[in-house]
Amino acid sequence: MNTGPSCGRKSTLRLKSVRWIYQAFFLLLFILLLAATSYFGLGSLPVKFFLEASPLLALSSILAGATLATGMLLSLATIGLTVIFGRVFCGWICPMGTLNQATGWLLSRRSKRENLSINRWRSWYVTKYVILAVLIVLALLGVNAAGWLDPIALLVRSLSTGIFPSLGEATGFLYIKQPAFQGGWILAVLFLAILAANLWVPRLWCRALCPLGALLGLISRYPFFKIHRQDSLCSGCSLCVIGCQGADEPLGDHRVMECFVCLNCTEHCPDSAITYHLLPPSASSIPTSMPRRTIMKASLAAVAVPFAIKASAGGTLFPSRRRIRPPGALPEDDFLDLCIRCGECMKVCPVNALHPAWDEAGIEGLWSPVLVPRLGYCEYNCNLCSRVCPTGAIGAFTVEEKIGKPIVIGAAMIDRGRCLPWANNRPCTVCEEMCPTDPKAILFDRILIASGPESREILQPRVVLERCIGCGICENKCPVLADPAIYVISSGESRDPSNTIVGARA
Amino acid sequence: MDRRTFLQRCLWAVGTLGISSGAALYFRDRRQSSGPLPTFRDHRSGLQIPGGIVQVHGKDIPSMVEIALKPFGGMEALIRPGEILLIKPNAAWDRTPEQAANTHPEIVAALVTMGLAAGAGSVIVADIACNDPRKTFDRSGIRDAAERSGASLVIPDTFVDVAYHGSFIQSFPTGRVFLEADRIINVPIVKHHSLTRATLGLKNWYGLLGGRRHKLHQMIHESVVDLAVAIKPTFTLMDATRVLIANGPQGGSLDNVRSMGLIAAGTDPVALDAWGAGLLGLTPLDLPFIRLGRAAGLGTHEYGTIMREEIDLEA
Repeated sequence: MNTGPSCGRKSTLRLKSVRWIYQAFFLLLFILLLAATSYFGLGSLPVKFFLEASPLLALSSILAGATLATGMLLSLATIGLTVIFGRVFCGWICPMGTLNQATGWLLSRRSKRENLSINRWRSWYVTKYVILAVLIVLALLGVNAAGWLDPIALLVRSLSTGIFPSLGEATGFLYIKQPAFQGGWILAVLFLAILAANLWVPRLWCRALCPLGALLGLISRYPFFKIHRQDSLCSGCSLCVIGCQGADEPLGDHRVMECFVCLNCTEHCPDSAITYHLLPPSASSIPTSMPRRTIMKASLAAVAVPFAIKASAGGTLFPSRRRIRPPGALPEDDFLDLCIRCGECMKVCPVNALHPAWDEAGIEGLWSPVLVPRLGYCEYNCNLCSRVCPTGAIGAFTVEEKIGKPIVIGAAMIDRGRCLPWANNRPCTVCEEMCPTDPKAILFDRILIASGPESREILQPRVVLERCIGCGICENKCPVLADPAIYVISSGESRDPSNTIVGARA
Repeated sequence: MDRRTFLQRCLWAVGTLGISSGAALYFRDRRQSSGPLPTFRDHRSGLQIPGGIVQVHGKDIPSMVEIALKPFGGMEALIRPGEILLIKPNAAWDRTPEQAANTHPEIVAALVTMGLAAGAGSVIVADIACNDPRKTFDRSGIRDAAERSGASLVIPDTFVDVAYHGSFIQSFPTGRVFLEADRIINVPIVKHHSLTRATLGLKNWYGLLGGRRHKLHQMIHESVVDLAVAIKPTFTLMDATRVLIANGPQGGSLDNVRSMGLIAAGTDPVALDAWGAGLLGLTPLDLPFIRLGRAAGLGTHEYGTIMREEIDLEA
């Protein structure tokens, strides 16, 4: 604690420490809420809190899906906060921002001189505005691409499918049953690459790429509180730049839209010339000049994208048979309009059945949830995925509705060439035992096998398509290794009456 | 580079290598060590438990359990003070008690209470479910019953290869917690099963296995008996308070559940299974695993001959 008058700071608790406390609090809160996104944790905890606070996800939901889940009204609070205080979300709240800042701080040691240059504004930091423009154009055309790049969705997805499972495997403590996600390592590597970029440029993601940051930047053009430099006191030493997080250059005309309100400049200024001020007297800040031509070109190019991806095989026009959606998922077009690929449903699924899609749902469905029955099945008495979906892409349903209607997500098909009773005359019928419906959707026929003088009875399974709900437990538990002898396809799903083999259900 | 720098760098290199090798060794040591595979101990050793079986009919489950154990000397005859007692219910399915797919939670609670009263050091309730174990223990009421009565509910998460030396199962991954108990009470439920026609006490040992245990269905009767020979429980108490008579083993509709108000207990697992088969309207010797169990010397299918008492609390 500084007590001497020479120090020039009056408060005993430095602003920087206060900010770190906030950042640590919100990062911890984020991680705890994500960890609580599990069968045990889902009580009254607001596990969707951070996702619902993102105005980018809310905007994309409105533009692409013409709807907004009630909980996402929370994003209005973030907007209000930004209007009043500037981008405090980036500097004080965003867990992705905190991780970026902490990584840079821990892993790179730069000299004073290096810091003075690396924290200056670069023209290419406007890339994020181009990204935001493209995301908005895509959303208007019905492609909800915001979730791929929204920092909260990105963080939830990366931690849930990549980082947490790795930590669980290393420590053995995080899970009761260690989950594994298809392609989870790629999502982990992408995330680690974003963190590693801080070695090159501090907070590169936040400064140059983050579309949520861009949106908040636009909102914070005229904040009530902003950085104010008193020219009469400034000796022009440039030390304010040394810890500047947003590269917003408080030393000259302050780029207010880029400022994360980290307030480091107010502390580093030896002349006490910089303050964080309510409606500062003179207009000392300038807007970021938008790369208008680039934005226009990128937006025009983006117009072509939806048609190309929708017409690709595996997309909505030509679905893959493996595109099995969680129960309660809206019809595919509406589902993709709202799904932000945050991976909350994958995190909460108690049987590790939901996985990020890679080629199952076309390029538009990248990282959206698909059921991979070989890895996990849809638990019969369970609706956890619908309870954590922040956007309503997975509509709310009760367990009673799921069983009573029933909500169908697919249909099981038997491969008689692999099925042990069919192909090898060996007893098995595990699929029939596991089938959760009542009456069962898998029956067996008693077949008399006569070979030589002896004959014996064998039970051969058969799927009753009208009863099958596509939960996939049969495929999951099928003892035939490699390709299973019974497998689920999306046909018969409740949300799409045209995707059916048998016509009307019984 | 001078000598000092050279030595400093050498020290750094050795230090870094040492730390990373230490970490590597730490993680490697967590794998299962090689050596002879463990086997189940005789959970009846040192005890003198009378033979035969007992049948109790009634409504009040705690007193039914109490009375069922009395002819055998009560719970005090089954454990010694300080020992670890493990209760193995059938908790395989994410179903409610009324749906009769899992052991009645009140029976579990009664056994836990009696075990603690008899001086058990600790009582563990464990099973390896087919559905998600957390949901299964919750919906079946068994978590609540176990925790309310003072047992610790264990969802097995570590598995060791156990030697069974059976005709079909040589060894199989098994929940470690089951090896750690001094006494095990098998608490199966009588219910219909599509493949074996009945799930009873012998088949309840499937619930100790991890791995891809469903491949055992191809030799299900042999597997069931292999397990029952190798795992020597202290005692068996069979739940037939309500019986699933069709669409087993998990049921669903209450139309297939019959209220019978019965339990049976004893030390002869074959006799108890034969008794349960009778409740389902089956002829015991029609069930291959009962034939095989009898041939393996596990007990008699003529349960009537060793029935010690048939107690009716309603009479």
